[in-house]
This record gives sequence, structure tokens and C-alpha cells, in this order.
Amino acid sequence: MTDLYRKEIEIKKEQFQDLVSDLNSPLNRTGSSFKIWIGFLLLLIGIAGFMYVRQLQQGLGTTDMRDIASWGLYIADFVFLIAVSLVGSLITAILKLSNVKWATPLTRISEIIAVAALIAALLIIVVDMGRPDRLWHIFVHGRLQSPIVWDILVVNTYLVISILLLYIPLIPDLALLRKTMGHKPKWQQKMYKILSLGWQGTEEQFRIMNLSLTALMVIIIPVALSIHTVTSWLFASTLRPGWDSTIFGPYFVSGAFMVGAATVIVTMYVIITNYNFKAYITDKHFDLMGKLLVLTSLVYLYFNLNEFMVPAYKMKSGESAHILGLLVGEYSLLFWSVQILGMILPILLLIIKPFRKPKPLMIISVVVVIGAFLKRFLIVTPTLLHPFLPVQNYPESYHHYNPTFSEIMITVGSFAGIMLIISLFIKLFPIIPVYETAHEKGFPNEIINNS
Amino acid sequence: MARLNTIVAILIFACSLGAFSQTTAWEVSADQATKKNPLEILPKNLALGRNIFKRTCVSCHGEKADGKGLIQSTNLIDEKFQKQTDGVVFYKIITGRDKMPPFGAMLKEDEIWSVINYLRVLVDPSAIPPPKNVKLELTTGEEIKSITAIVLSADSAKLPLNEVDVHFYVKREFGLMRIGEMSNYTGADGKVKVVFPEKIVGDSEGNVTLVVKIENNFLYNDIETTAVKKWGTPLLSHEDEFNRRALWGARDKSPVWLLLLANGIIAIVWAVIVYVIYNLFRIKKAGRIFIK
Amino acid sequence: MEDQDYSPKSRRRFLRKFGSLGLGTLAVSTGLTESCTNPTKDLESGKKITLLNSKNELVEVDSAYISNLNKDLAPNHNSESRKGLPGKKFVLVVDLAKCKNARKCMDKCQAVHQLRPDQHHLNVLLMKDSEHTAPYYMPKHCQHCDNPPCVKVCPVDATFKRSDGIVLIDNERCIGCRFCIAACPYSARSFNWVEPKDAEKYKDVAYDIEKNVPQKKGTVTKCTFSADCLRDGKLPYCVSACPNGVYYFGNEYEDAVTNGTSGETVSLSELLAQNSAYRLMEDLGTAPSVYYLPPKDRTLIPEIEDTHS
Repeated sequence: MTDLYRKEIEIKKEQFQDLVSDLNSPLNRTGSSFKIWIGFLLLLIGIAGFMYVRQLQQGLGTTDMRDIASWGLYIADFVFLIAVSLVGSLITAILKLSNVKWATPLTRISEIIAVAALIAALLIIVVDMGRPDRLWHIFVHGRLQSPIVWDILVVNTYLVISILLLYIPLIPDLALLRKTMGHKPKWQQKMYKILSLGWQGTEEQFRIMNLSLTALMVIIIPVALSIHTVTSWLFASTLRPGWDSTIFGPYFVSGAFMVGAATVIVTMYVIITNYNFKAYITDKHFDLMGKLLVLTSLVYLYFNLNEFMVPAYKMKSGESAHILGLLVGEYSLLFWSVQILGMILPILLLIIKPFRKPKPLMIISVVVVIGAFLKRFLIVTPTLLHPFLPVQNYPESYHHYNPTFSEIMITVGSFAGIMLIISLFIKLFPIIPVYETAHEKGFPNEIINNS
Repeated sequence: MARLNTIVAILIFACSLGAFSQTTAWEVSADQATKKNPLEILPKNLALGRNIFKRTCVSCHGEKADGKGLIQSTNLIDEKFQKQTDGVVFYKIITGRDKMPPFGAMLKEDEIWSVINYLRVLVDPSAIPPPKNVKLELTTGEEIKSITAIVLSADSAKLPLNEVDVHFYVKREFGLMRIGEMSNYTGADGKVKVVFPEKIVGDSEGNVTLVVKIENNFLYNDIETTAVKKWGTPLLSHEDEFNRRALWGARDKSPVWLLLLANGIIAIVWAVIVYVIYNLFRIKKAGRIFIK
Repeated sequence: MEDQDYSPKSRRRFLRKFGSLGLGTLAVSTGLTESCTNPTKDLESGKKITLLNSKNELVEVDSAYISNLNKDLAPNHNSESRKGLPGKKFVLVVDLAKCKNARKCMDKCQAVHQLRPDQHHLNVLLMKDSEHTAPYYMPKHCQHCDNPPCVKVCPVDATFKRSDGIVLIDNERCIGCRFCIAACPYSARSFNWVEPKDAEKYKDVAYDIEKNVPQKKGTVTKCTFSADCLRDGKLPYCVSACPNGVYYFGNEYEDAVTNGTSGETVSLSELLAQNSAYRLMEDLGTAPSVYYLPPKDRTLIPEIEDTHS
């Protein structure tokens, strides 16, 4: 009996070793295509950096923003990135607290997307500032009455919680890496050693870890809702037609869940096509994420209906110029493309099961992500171009806003930065949680600890 | 063909109308041009003319009527202007042209004639005698708040002067606010009284500065006397309203509810974060115990 | 005007105003040296005063240019500038009936505040409220609201409301987030997207928060109600530049406003009551300090042009 038991353990151990080497495989394979990819991203970031230095020297005049359209692509990008970051809380906290088991392999993907998007969001908002050299004024002269200060507080809090939520479940995996990554460079080994906090997998350590995770998961939900709600208040706290709306908070949050789910799907697809994770991120995961995307899109559709139908029905002066501009005017092509291609069509298609297969789902998700970005642009710009009073005595160009090359490249650079952070993370840490996957597959803790 | 002709005719008419409206000439009929000025050149009329001129004409035609006001306009003291008859000038003032508004609706006929007289005197001051100095004294009535100006001749005889136009003002932030009428003439005793209006705001204690002037008068030189009286309503400043806690207040004036709410949320959330970070140390410590 | 104070303080003040040009000559015609003048006073008094410039040369200037000698030097002056003048609440009344789009106010404002032609502290708009109503010209300043949406949203106290009702912005505090521009329903604010006009000339001029000059790249700029003039007891630049008597300006507490063109002072409450005055977008609850008198009995009804909205 003991022999049999021992043999079973041996088999389990071997199976666990296979699992570890599977999940750690991206850390050990670095092909030239990856280097080209990183080089490409660095090039984009470099161009963005160059454009930013130019912007610093010449002022925000290098953008097409002017006194009428005083916010533009940068703010749209900021709102978009904040929206994307919300997925971290959706997958890790909301699904996990609801005991949704299938989402486990996706938690780390969503969490690193959240962290990367937040870092990019914080950078892009500094890029948008006329005087980034005076950033410290916010800490010295900060006014609690300003939604910007709320946003800064809440975004940074969310970033800290997200980093903790990314890091704490990583500790057992880091302990494994400490043992298995002996062939890696010194600094990397040292990093694993320090970050694993001397993890031994004791009962006490697990208890403290689970306690901390539960606390974080509970607290991140209101914080996550508030980052996007407060971001929506940057607009809703003004009197402008198109922004002066009471449903902006939930409208933004629901949109964020939609774009977040889509972003995770795209990332999942990129990961399974590049690394051999088909056994861990299966078609079932895509199918379920597809359903989640439909659900979030339906909620978003509902809020869109409210946001545009209600003012369009009343056609209050002030609102009407803005609404007509979107529905039938200057921005109608973009508006309807975004609404139909980026929201309604995906819902209709994803109800059908074959469209929830990885490839079609990924394509639809890419469209959703692009649509979501353009939607943020539509929220920011048309409103500014339709102020209460007529726009007169300005050059003709002030009546329109067309982002300049510099603005576009800096925005592209922010996306490149996110992809760079995620790519490097995949090369340094297991993107699918090793411990949690093993735990859910029924490997006992002693095997995990002693391998 | 007939229709074409009509269209052409209308077009020509429209064009000529367009051209006409751009360089409108003042076509003054002989009837208008020979219209007689009913007012004599008298100091009293001139004073009225000057007042009107200062109020309505100076901004464009300038203090000296030389056309150098805030915008460039017609010079009213050169020969070209002055050789026009009173009737022509009268007609032009009434009808206006381009930037010159039609004053017919704004001014009374007598007022316009007096302005014309004033313009004539501007180029030919010899028409009136040189102005004299006067003495201006004030007395105030307290029961009914009133101010009386006494105008006396400046010489030792101190004779009361009749029919002198006296102007009464209250001093305000950026200028003098008129009380009483546009013109207040002294009686045979050299006195003229003006009742102080109600609801005039003074300083924080209700003090008002009264300014009494003889000005723009062709018979007498300018003179001004002031008096401070506690006749006004005390100035009520609402500065407190701008120093209270409000959403638009400075950072040290945030509303209390906001302070409590925001700081409360920050405290709760960060307490959890600090607790979790503290747990990280506990995890590390727990591992060390295990090794031992 | 007749102040012949030769004390070091006044000389410093003078040097700040003139010596900073960095030239031996005095380019008095530029906005740099613009000071508040009352409409009735001639700019040149004809009386010459000899003074020492930054190059230690004695120069002769017209005494009209050395007014405001009691004013403190800018740095000390700026902390004082946040408080507001006691016992005053400034109010502007715009008589739309008289506006003929002469734009002297706009020109003066842009010259004084170092603004580019596309930057407006003050913008004269051609308004047409509806299809069948007549168009009219409407000078639009910052409304210096008593419930200012722009001040509410400023994250760093850069823009603030003083106890005398004036909303100012501190160029040296502003971080350039432009939230205030987004928040202002009157589109009354402008941003320095590029290096401000004549930045080189203004390089050494000390910053005056009440004049908001020199302008700085990457910061927001706005109408100040010419707080620098008000401190000297003079009317704002635009008010005294108007040739058509459009503007009345005064102290609301004193219930009196003075016309910038004629110098006539009238009762504020009577002026507002007799002309059915109104404020812009009253329904937004911003409580502006600017009143408009309806454009009735106009001497000039504007041509209907293409109005962008």
C-alpha cells in the first residue's frame, strides 16, 4: 500500500513537474521574433519619446488642441486606459469572489494588463499637462474639491492594490522559480529570491496570504468602480452639453468592463498562439469570455441607449447641436461605426456559438477595443467643439480637431509601453498562475512545496 | 423680353441702392439748410450744449471736437465744417450717416441747437464775455437731508449770484454720481437746494462725500466744494460669503462634509493596503520560523 | 499723475516698468508699458520728468507714464493679490444696445495682456438667438461668477475667487491641466499653447498676478477685470477703451457704476431695473458678476453673416 501510495506521489510529482515546465516555458524560450517584437516596441516608444521632448520644448501647440477643443487624444487615451485597467478587478475580484473557477488562468493576464494600463494612464495624463514640471504642485497645493485630485488619489490607490493583487498570488510561483531557474542570470535569480519572501508554503503563510487576498479583493471592487466613476466625473462635473449627465459613472464603468473583457480576450489569443498554453487556456475559456463580453456589452448598450436616446428625444438647445453632430452631423460616420461595429454587431455575433471560437472571437474583440478607443474620443471631442456660446474670432481650424502626427505617435507609444510591460512580464514570470492552477488540479501543497 | 428688362432694372436698382448705401451723401434740402437756429448764443444755452456735447459727442469727435476721439471722425472745428449753415448741421445730427448715429430720436430739438451753438463758440469765443470767479459755500439741512449751495461773487462784496447752474454729486468708486437735476439754478438769494436721495450707500459707517460743482459754465470759472455727511446707508460688504467653506473655496476652505468623506474613504482603503503590506512581512517571518 | 516721488521704491518700480525692455530707448507704445488711464485724461501730460534707467542713463519721460507709484513691487504684491480689495464687489454692465463691434476693447485687452490675436480674454460675439430675432453684438468677458465652475475644479488653487468677486489665475501655480477651460460654460479662458507673444520682450518683467503678465507657455490665462487698474482706483482697460459707451463698471456694494466712455456714474440698481438687465445663462447657477442690458433701440443692427455655432 505504501509503495502504491509512494508511486502515486511520484507520478503526481512528475505531472507537477510537467505542469511547471509547461507554464514556465515562456521564460526559457526567447526566440529572435521576440527580440524583434521588443525592438519594434522600443522603436515606437522612442518615437513617442522624441515627440514628447519636442512637445516639451515647443509647448502643447505641437498638438491640434486649441482653446475650443482643449482636450483631445491624450484625454481620450487616458479614459481608455483607465477603462482597460478595470478588467483587473473584474476577473480577479468579482469573478473570484463569486467562485467562478474557470477564470483562474486569466487572473494574472488581467492583472498585468491593469497594472500596465494604469502606468500608461498616469504617464499620458502627465503628457497632457501644460506644465509637467509643476506636477509637484498637486502634492503641495492640492485641493480636495477638484475631481482631478480625487482621480489622482483613486488611480494611485488602485495601482497599489493592483500591484499587490498581481504580486501576492505570485509569491508561491516565485518560490518555485527560485528553485527551478538556476540557469538564469544572477540578477534574475536574486530578484526571485527577494520577491519570494522566503516562501515555504507553510499553513501559516497560506493563511496570511489568503487573508490578504480576500481583503484586497473586497477592497478593490469599490476602488475600481470609483476610478472609472471619478474619471467620468472629470466630464460630468462640468456644465457642458454631452457631459452634463447623471449616468456618466455607470455608463463609463459598463463600457470599461466591455473593453476590458475584449482586451483580455485579445491578450489570451496572442499568448496561446505564441506559447503552448492550449491545455490551460482552452476553447472553453474563450467561449466563456465571449459570453462575458456579450453580457458586459449588453449592459453598455443599455447605458448608451439612455445616454443618447433621452437627450435626443428632448433636443434641448445646447444639447441638440452636440447630439445632432453625433447622430447625423460631423461625427455621425464615426459615431455609428463605433456603435454598430464596436457594440451592436459584436453582441449579435457573439450570441452565436461558433463566433466564440478563439479566432473569430479575437477578431471581434479587436474591433471592440478599437471601437472603445474611438468611443472615448467621441466622448471628449465633440462636446468641446460645441460650447454654449458661438465660436467666433478664432482661426477656421479651431472649429475642428484633427490629432497631429505627434499626438498620434505619443498615443501609440502609450500602447507600445503597455505591450512592452506585458511582454517583459511574460518573459520573467509565469503568466498563468502555477500554484493556483496546480492547486485547482488537485495537487497537494506538499508536492508543490517540495518539488 | 419684358420680364428680362424688369429683372435687369431691378438688378440695376439693387446695385445702385447698394452703392448708394455705402457712400450715402447727406442730401440736405434747401428748406432744411435754411432752417433758423431758434436759440440765441447765451451762456445758459451754451452750458446745455456743452453738457450734451460731452455726453454724446466727445467719444467720437474728441474733447476738442477736432475729430480725434476714440475713433477717427469728422473735425468739427475746421473751416469746412464751420462754413455749413446751422440748418445743415442740424439736419446731419438728426439723420446721421455711417458711424454717426441719428440723434433725432435721442435728443430734443433745443438740445441739438444748443450743441450747434456750442460748436460755433468753440471756434469763436469772442461771442461771449470772459468767465468770472465765484465763491461757492455749502449749508446742509439735517431734518430733511438736503444740501444748499450758495453762490457769491468772489469780490469782497459777496453778492449773491442769480441763475448759476450748480451740479451736485456723490462720490463713488470710479466717478461722481449726480444727485438733483442736470441743471440746478440759483435763485435771487444765490441759493439752490437739492434733497439728498434715499438709499445712497456710504462707506462702512454711512459717510458720503458730497461734491458740489460749478462747471462747464461760460460765465463763471470752475469751482468745486466737498462735504462729508453721515447720510448714507452703511456699506454692507458680503466678504464673509467669499470666505466661507465652499466647493469653489481655496484648499483650506473645503467643505467639511467633503473633508470627512474623502479622508474617511482614504483612511479605510489605505488601512487595508497597509494591513496587506504588513502581512507580507508576516509571510516572510513565518517562512523564517519554518526554516529554523 | 503729479506724483514726483523720487524715493528708491518708486525708482525701482519705474525701472521694472521701463528698464526691463533691455533697450536704451523707451518703447512706450507697446503693451509692456500700458497702464490704466482714465478715459477723460490725455495720455501725455506734456510734463517731462527725468529718471535713471537700467543702463544708468538719465532719460526724460512724460509724467503721464509714471503713475501708480503707490503700488508695491510685484512679488510682495502677489500674495496680497489673492485677497481682494476690501469693501468692494466689482460688477460690469454691458449695454448691448450701444455695441457697434468697434472692438477697441478687444484690441486694448490683447495689447495689455500680451495676447496673440487668437487668444481672447474678451471676445465680441455676433449673436443671433433664433431664426426670427435680430442679430446683435455681445462683448463676452469672464463672467467672474459667484459660483465659479472653473474655480471648483482647479486641482492646485491656481485659479481662485477673491473677496471682491474677481476670479484670477496664478500663472506661476497653474499646471496646465485645462480642466477650468472644460468647466467654463462661457468659453472665457484661453491657454498658452505655444510660447506667448513677445516672450523675449517680457523675459525680465516681474509677474503681476492682477495683470496676468507676463504670460507663460503651458498655462491658462483669463480676464482679470483689470485688477491692476482697480487697485489704483481706475476703470478696467476694456471699459475705458470703448468709444460707444457700452460698458459700465463699478462697486456693487456701493450701488453705482461708471460708464467708461462718458465717465457718467449712475445707480446700478436703477440701471438694471430700468433696462431689464439679465445675466448670461442664469439657469446654470453660476451667478455671474456681469450684467447685460438688452440690445433694444440700437443705432446699428449688424448684417447677418455666417455665424458659427
